[in-house]
Amino acid sequence: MNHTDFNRLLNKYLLGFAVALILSILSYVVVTGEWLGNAVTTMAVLLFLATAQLVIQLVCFLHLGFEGRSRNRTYTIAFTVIMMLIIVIGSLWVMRNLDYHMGMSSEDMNDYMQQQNKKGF
Amino acid sequence: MSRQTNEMVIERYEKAEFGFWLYLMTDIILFASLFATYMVLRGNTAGGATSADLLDPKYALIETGILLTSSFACGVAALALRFKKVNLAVWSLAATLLLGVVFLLLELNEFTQLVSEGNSWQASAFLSSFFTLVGTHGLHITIGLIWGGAMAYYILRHGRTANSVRKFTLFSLFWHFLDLVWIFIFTIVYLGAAL
Repeated sequence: MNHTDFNRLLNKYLLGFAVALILSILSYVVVTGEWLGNAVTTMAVLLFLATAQLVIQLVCFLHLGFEGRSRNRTYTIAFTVIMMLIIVIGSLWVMRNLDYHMGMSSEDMNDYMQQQNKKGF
Repeated sequence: MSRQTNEMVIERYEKAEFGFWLYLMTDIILFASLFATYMVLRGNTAGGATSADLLDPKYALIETGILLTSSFACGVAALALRFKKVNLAVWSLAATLLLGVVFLLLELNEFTQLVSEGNSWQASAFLSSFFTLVGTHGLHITIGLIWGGAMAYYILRHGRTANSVRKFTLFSLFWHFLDLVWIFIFTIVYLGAAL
Protein backbone atom coordinates (compact mmCIF):
# COMPACT_ATOMS: atom_id res chain seq x y z
CA MET A 1 0.00 0.00 0.00
CA ASN A 2 2.35 2.76 -1.14
CA HIS A 3 2.44 5.54 -3.67
CA THR A 4 3.42 3.38 -6.68
CA ASP A 5 0.56 1.00 -5.88
CA PHE A 6 -1.84 3.92 -5.94
CA ASN A 7 -0.54 5.13 -9.30
CA ARG A 8 -0.66 1.64 -10.79
CA LEU A 9 -4.30 1.20 -9.75
CA LEU A 10 -5.22 4.72 -10.88
CA ASN A 11 -3.76 3.95 -14.31
CA LYS A 12 -5.99 0.88 -14.46
CA TYR A 13 -9.06 3.08 -13.87
CA LEU A 14 -7.86 5.63 -16.43
CA LEU A 15 -7.32 2.89 -19.01
CA GLY A 16 -10.81 1.50 -18.37
CA PHE A 17 -12.34 4.96 -18.64
CA ALA A 18 -10.56 5.82 -21.90
CA VAL A 19 -11.36 2.49 -23.59
CA ALA A 20 -15.03 2.60 -22.47
CA LEU A 21 -15.39 6.16 -23.78
CA ILE A 22 -13.84 5.25 -27.14
CA LEU A 23 -16.08 2.16 -27.49
CA SER A 24 -19.23 4.19 -26.69
CA ILE A 25 -18.39 6.86 -29.27
CA LEU A 26 -17.42 4.17 -31.78
CA SER A 27 -20.79 2.42 -31.45
CA TYR A 28 -22.55 5.78 -31.88
CA VAL A 29 -20.55 6.55 -35.02
CA VAL A 30 -21.15 3.07 -36.46
CA VAL A 31 -24.91 3.75 -36.29
CA THR A 32 -25.16 7.43 -37.25
CA GLY A 33 -22.44 7.23 -39.92
CA GLU A 34 -24.23 4.20 -41.41
CA TRP A 35 -20.90 2.42 -41.89
CA LEU A 36 -22.64 -0.93 -42.37
CA GLY A 37 -25.71 -0.78 -44.57
CA ASN A 38 -27.37 -3.84 -43.09
CA ALA A 39 -29.30 -3.44 -39.80
CA VAL A 40 -28.60 -7.01 -38.62
CA THR A 41 -24.84 -6.69 -39.14
CA THR A 42 -24.85 -3.31 -37.42
CA MET A 43 -26.71 -4.73 -34.39
CA ALA A 44 -24.22 -7.63 -34.20
CA VAL A 45 -21.30 -5.16 -34.25
CA LEU A 46 -23.03 -3.01 -31.61
CA LEU A 47 -23.55 -5.99 -29.31
CA PHE A 48 -19.91 -6.97 -29.78
CA LEU A 49 -18.77 -3.43 -28.84
CA ALA A 50 -21.10 -3.37 -25.80
CA THR A 51 -19.78 -6.75 -24.63
CA ALA A 52 -16.18 -5.56 -25.09
CA GLN A 53 -17.00 -2.52 -22.95
CA LEU A 54 -18.65 -4.78 -20.35
CA VAL A 55 -15.50 -6.90 -20.07
CA ILE A 56 -13.20 -3.85 -19.90
CA GLN A 57 -15.26 -2.30 -17.10
CA LEU A 58 -15.53 -5.59 -15.20
CA VAL A 59 -11.74 -5.94 -15.24
CA CYS A 60 -10.72 -2.29 -14.72
CA PHE A 61 -13.51 -0.97 -12.45
CA LEU A 62 -14.83 -4.06 -10.67
CA HIS A 63 -11.45 -5.85 -10.58
CA LEU A 64 -12.70 -9.24 -11.69
CA GLY A 65 -10.10 -11.92 -12.27
CA PHE A 66 -9.21 -15.49 -11.44
CA GLU A 67 -6.93 -14.87 -8.47
CA GLY A 68 -7.71 -14.63 -4.78
CA ARG A 69 -10.80 -12.79 -3.63
CA SER A 70 -12.27 -12.00 -7.03
CA ARG A 71 -12.49 -15.62 -8.22
CA ASN A 72 -15.87 -16.39 -6.64
CA ARG A 73 -17.29 -13.18 -8.06
CA THR A 74 -16.06 -14.08 -11.54
CA TYR A 75 -17.68 -17.53 -11.36
CA THR A 76 -21.02 -16.16 -10.12
CA ILE A 77 -21.20 -13.51 -12.83
CA ALA A 78 -20.33 -16.11 -15.48
CA PHE A 79 -23.22 -18.24 -14.24
CA THR A 80 -25.56 -15.22 -14.14
CA VAL A 81 -24.65 -14.26 -17.70
CA ILE A 82 -25.65 -17.77 -18.82
CA MET A 83 -29.01 -17.37 -17.00
CA MET A 84 -29.43 -13.94 -18.58
CA LEU A 85 -28.84 -15.29 -22.08
CA ILE A 86 -31.35 -18.12 -21.50
CA ILE A 87 -33.99 -15.59 -20.38
CA VAL A 88 -33.41 -13.12 -23.22
CA ILE A 89 -32.82 -15.49 -26.14
CA GLY A 90 -35.47 -17.91 -24.84
CA SER A 91 -38.09 -15.15 -24.57
CA LEU A 92 -37.36 -13.86 -28.06
CA TRP A 93 -37.48 -17.39 -29.48
CA VAL A 94 -40.77 -18.31 -27.78
CA MET A 95 -42.51 -15.05 -28.68
CA ARG A 96 -41.30 -15.13 -32.29
CA ASN A 97 -42.59 -18.68 -32.57
CA LEU A 98 -45.95 -17.71 -31.04
CA ASP A 99 -46.21 -14.79 -33.46
CA TYR A 100 -45.57 -17.14 -36.40
CA HIS A 101 -48.28 -19.57 -35.30
CA MET A 102 -50.89 -16.80 -34.92
CA GLY A 103 -51.48 -17.18 -38.65
CA MET A 104 -51.43 -13.48 -39.46
CA SER A 105 -48.58 -11.03 -39.87
CA SER A 106 -47.82 -8.73 -36.97
CA GLU A 107 -49.03 -5.73 -39.03
CA ASP A 108 -52.40 -7.45 -39.66
CA MET A 109 -52.56 -8.35 -35.98
CA ASN A 110 -51.87 -4.73 -35.05
CA ASP A 111 -54.70 -3.51 -37.34
CA TYR A 112 -57.05 -6.15 -35.98
CA MET A 113 -56.31 -5.20 -32.37
CA GLN A 114 -56.91 -1.53 -33.14
CA GLN A 115 -60.27 -2.32 -34.79
CA GLN A 116 -61.28 -4.31 -31.73
CA ASN A 117 -60.09 -1.50 -29.51
CA LYS A 118 -62.28 1.02 -31.39
CA LYS A 119 -65.34 -1.18 -30.88
CA GLY A 120 -64.72 -1.03 -27.17
CA PHE A 121 -64.25 -4.01 -24.91
CA MET B 1 -7.31 -6.26 18.48
CA SER B 2 -5.54 -9.60 18.44
CA ARG B 3 -4.45 -11.06 15.15
CA GLN B 4 -7.11 -13.74 15.23
CA THR B 5 -10.09 -11.43 15.76
CA ASN B 6 -8.70 -9.10 13.10
CA GLU B 7 -8.74 -11.98 10.60
CA MET B 8 -12.29 -12.82 11.63
CA VAL B 9 -13.36 -9.24 10.97
CA ILE B 10 -11.75 -9.29 7.52
CA GLU B 11 -13.46 -12.59 6.76
CA ARG B 12 -16.82 -11.08 7.76
CA TYR B 13 -16.18 -8.08 5.49
CA GLU B 14 -15.39 -10.38 2.58
CA LYS B 15 -18.59 -12.31 3.18
CA ALA B 16 -20.60 -9.08 3.23
CA GLU B 17 -18.99 -7.99 -0.03
CA PHE B 18 -19.73 -11.33 -1.68
CA GLY B 19 -23.30 -11.23 -0.40
CA PHE B 20 -23.78 -7.80 -1.93
CA TRP B 21 -22.29 -9.08 -5.18
CA LEU B 22 -24.89 -11.86 -5.21
CA TYR B 23 -27.63 -9.23 -4.84
CA LEU B 24 -26.21 -7.49 -7.93
CA MET B 25 -26.38 -10.81 -9.80
CA THR B 26 -30.11 -11.06 -9.03
CA ASP B 27 -30.46 -7.50 -10.31
CA ILE B 28 -28.95 -8.67 -13.62
CA ILE B 29 -31.78 -11.20 -13.88
CA LEU B 30 -34.33 -8.41 -13.20
CA PHE B 31 -32.87 -6.26 -15.96
CA ALA B 32 -32.58 -9.27 -18.30
CA SER B 33 -36.36 -9.81 -17.97
CA LEU B 34 -37.04 -6.14 -18.69
CA PHE B 35 -34.69 -6.19 -21.72
CA ALA B 36 -36.41 -9.32 -23.04
CA THR B 37 -39.82 -7.64 -22.62
CA TYR B 38 -38.60 -4.52 -24.42
CA MET B 39 -37.13 -6.51 -27.32
CA VAL B 40 -40.37 -8.46 -27.75
CA LEU B 41 -42.66 -5.41 -27.55
CA ARG B 42 -40.59 -2.72 -29.26
CA GLY B 43 -42.47 -3.10 -32.56
CA ASN B 44 -45.94 -2.99 -30.99
CA THR B 45 -46.64 0.74 -31.21
CA ALA B 46 -50.45 0.50 -31.62
CA GLY B 47 -50.27 2.83 -34.62
CA GLY B 48 -48.50 5.50 -32.59
CA ALA B 49 -44.95 6.84 -32.59
CA THR B 50 -42.12 4.33 -33.05
CA SER B 51 -38.77 4.18 -31.26
CA ALA B 52 -37.11 5.81 -34.29
CA ASP B 53 -39.48 8.81 -34.01
CA LEU B 54 -39.03 9.34 -30.28
CA LEU B 55 -35.54 8.37 -29.17
CA ASP B 56 -32.51 10.54 -29.87
CA PRO B 57 -29.16 8.66 -29.90
CA LYS B 58 -27.17 11.90 -29.55
CA TYR B 59 -28.97 12.79 -26.31
CA ALA B 60 -28.32 9.25 -25.05
CA LEU B 61 -24.62 9.51 -25.99
CA ILE B 62 -24.30 12.61 -23.76
CA GLU B 63 -26.05 10.72 -20.93
CA THR B 64 -23.66 7.79 -21.50
CA GLY B 65 -20.60 10.06 -21.24
CA ILE B 66 -21.89 11.63 -18.02
CA LEU B 67 -22.68 8.31 -16.34
CA LEU B 68 -19.36 6.79 -17.43
CA THR B 69 -17.43 9.77 -16.01
CA SER B 70 -19.44 9.47 -12.79
CA SER B 71 -18.58 5.76 -12.58
CA PHE B 72 -14.88 6.56 -13.13
CA ALA B 73 -14.94 9.29 -10.44
CA CYS B 74 -16.53 6.80 -8.04
CA GLY B 75 -13.69 4.33 -8.70
CA VAL B 76 -11.10 7.07 -8.04
CA ALA B 77 -12.90 7.95 -4.79
CA ALA B 78 -12.85 4.31 -3.62
CA LEU B 79 -9.16 4.05 -4.50
CA ALA B 80 -8.26 7.33 -2.78
CA LEU B 81 -10.11 6.27 0.36
CA ARG B 82 -8.20 2.98 0.48
CA PHE B 83 -4.89 4.86 0.20
CA LYS B 84 -5.87 7.36 2.93
CA LYS B 85 -6.19 10.32 0.55
CA VAL B 86 -9.36 11.61 2.19
CA ASN B 87 -9.43 14.96 0.38
CA LEU B 88 -9.24 13.38 -3.07
CA ALA B 89 -11.87 10.84 -1.99
CA VAL B 90 -14.33 13.52 -0.89
CA TRP B 91 -13.91 15.61 -4.04
CA SER B 92 -14.21 12.57 -6.34
CA LEU B 93 -17.34 11.49 -4.49
CA ALA B 94 -18.76 15.01 -4.90
CA ALA B 95 -18.06 14.79 -8.66
CA THR B 96 -19.68 11.31 -8.76
CA LEU B 97 -22.86 12.56 -7.13
CA LEU B 98 -23.02 15.79 -9.14
CA LEU B 99 -22.71 13.89 -12.44
CA GLY B 100 -25.26 11.37 -11.19
CA VAL B 101 -27.75 14.17 -10.48
CA VAL B 102 -27.14 15.68 -13.95
CA PHE B 103 -27.76 12.26 -15.52
CA LEU B 104 -31.01 11.84 -13.59
CA LEU B 105 -32.21 15.33 -14.56
CA LEU B 106 -31.48 14.64 -18.24
CA GLU B 107 -33.48 11.42 -18.02
CA LEU B 108 -36.40 13.11 -16.24
CA ASN B 109 -36.33 15.87 -18.86
CA GLU B 110 -36.62 13.23 -21.60
CA PHE B 111 -39.47 11.48 -19.79
CA THR B 112 -41.51 14.65 -19.19
CA GLN B 113 -41.03 15.68 -22.81
CA LEU B 114 -42.30 12.29 -24.02
CA VAL B 115 -45.29 12.39 -21.70
CA SER B 116 -46.19 16.00 -22.54
CA GLU B 117 -46.28 15.07 -26.26
CA GLY B 118 -48.82 12.35 -25.49
CA ASN B 119 -46.33 9.46 -25.62
CA SER B 120 -46.73 8.25 -22.06
CA TRP B 121 -46.46 4.64 -20.86
CA GLN B 122 -50.18 4.21 -21.58
CA ALA B 123 -49.85 4.93 -25.30
CA SER B 124 -48.53 1.55 -26.49
CA ALA B 125 -46.85 -1.68 -25.43
CA PHE B 126 -43.57 -0.33 -26.80
CA LEU B 127 -43.76 2.74 -24.54
CA SER B 128 -44.83 0.69 -21.50
CA SER B 129 -41.79 -1.54 -21.85
CA PHE B 130 -39.52 1.44 -22.59
CA PHE B 131 -40.59 3.37 -19.48
CA THR B 132 -40.38 0.25 -17.31
CA LEU B 133 -36.84 -0.63 -18.47
CA VAL B 134 -35.33 2.88 -18.44
CA GLY B 135 -37.38 3.92 -15.39
CA THR B 136 -36.16 0.95 -13.34
CA HIS B 137 -32.59 1.97 -14.13
CA GLY B 138 -33.43 5.58 -13.16
CA LEU B 139 -34.91 4.34 -9.88
CA HIS B 140 -31.66 2.48 -9.14
CA ILE B 141 -29.74 5.69 -9.90
CA THR B 142 -31.98 7.62 -7.48
CA ILE B 143 -31.36 5.08 -4.72
CA GLY B 144 -27.63 5.17 -5.51
CA LEU B 145 -27.60 8.97 -5.17
CA ILE B 146 -29.28 8.79 -1.76
CA TRP B 147 -26.80 6.11 -0.70
CA GLY B 148 -23.88 8.18 -2.05
CA GLY B 149 -25.09 11.23 -0.14
CA ALA B 150 -25.21 9.15 3.04
CA MET B 151 -21.65 7.92 2.28
CA ALA B 152 -20.42 11.51 1.87
CA TYR B 153 -21.91 12.39 5.25
CA TYR B 154 -20.33 9.30 6.85
CA ILE B 155 -16.86 10.03 5.46
CA LEU B 156 -16.98 13.72 6.40
CA ARG B 157 -18.08 12.81 9.89
CA HIS B 158 -15.91 9.75 10.65
CA GLY B 159 -13.01 10.23 8.24
CA ARG B 160 -11.12 7.30 6.78
CA THR B 161 -11.83 4.25 8.94
CA ALA B 162 -11.93 0.53 8.15
CA ASN B 163 -15.72 0.85 8.25
CA SER B 164 -15.91 3.72 5.77
CA VAL B 165 -13.64 1.84 3.33
CA ARG B 166 -15.83 -1.25 3.58
CA LYS B 167 -19.09 0.68 3.17
CA PHE B 168 -17.68 2.63 0.26
CA THR B 169 -16.56 -0.57 -1.51
CA LEU B 170 -20.16 -1.78 -1.60
CA PHE B 171 -21.39 1.58 -2.88
CA SER B 172 -18.79 1.65 -5.66
CA LEU B 173 -19.78 -1.89 -6.73
CA PHE B 174 -23.40 -0.69 -7.02
CA TRP B 175 -22.50 2.45 -8.95
CA HIS B 176 -20.21 0.67 -11.45
CA PHE B 177 -22.93 -1.94 -11.94
CA LEU B 178 -25.47 0.75 -12.90
CA ASP B 179 -23.12 2.04 -15.58
CA LEU B 180 -22.81 -1.52 -16.97
CA VAL B 181 -26.60 -1.76 -17.26
CA TRP B 182 -26.71 1.62 -18.99
CA ILE B 183 -24.25 0.46 -21.71
CA PHE B 184 -26.86 -2.07 -22.80
CA ILE B 185 -29.76 0.39 -22.55
CA PHE B 186 -27.73 2.78 -24.73
CA THR B 187 -26.92 0.06 -27.26
CA ILE B 188 -30.20 -1.85 -27.47
CA VAL B 189 -32.76 0.89 -26.80
CA TYR B 190 -31.24 4.12 -28.14
CA LEU B 191 -28.85 2.92 -30.87
CA GLY B 192 -31.27 0.14 -31.79
CA ALA B 193 -33.90 2.85 -32.40
CA ALA B 194 -31.68 4.59 -34.96
CA LEU B 195 -31.09 1.43 -37.02
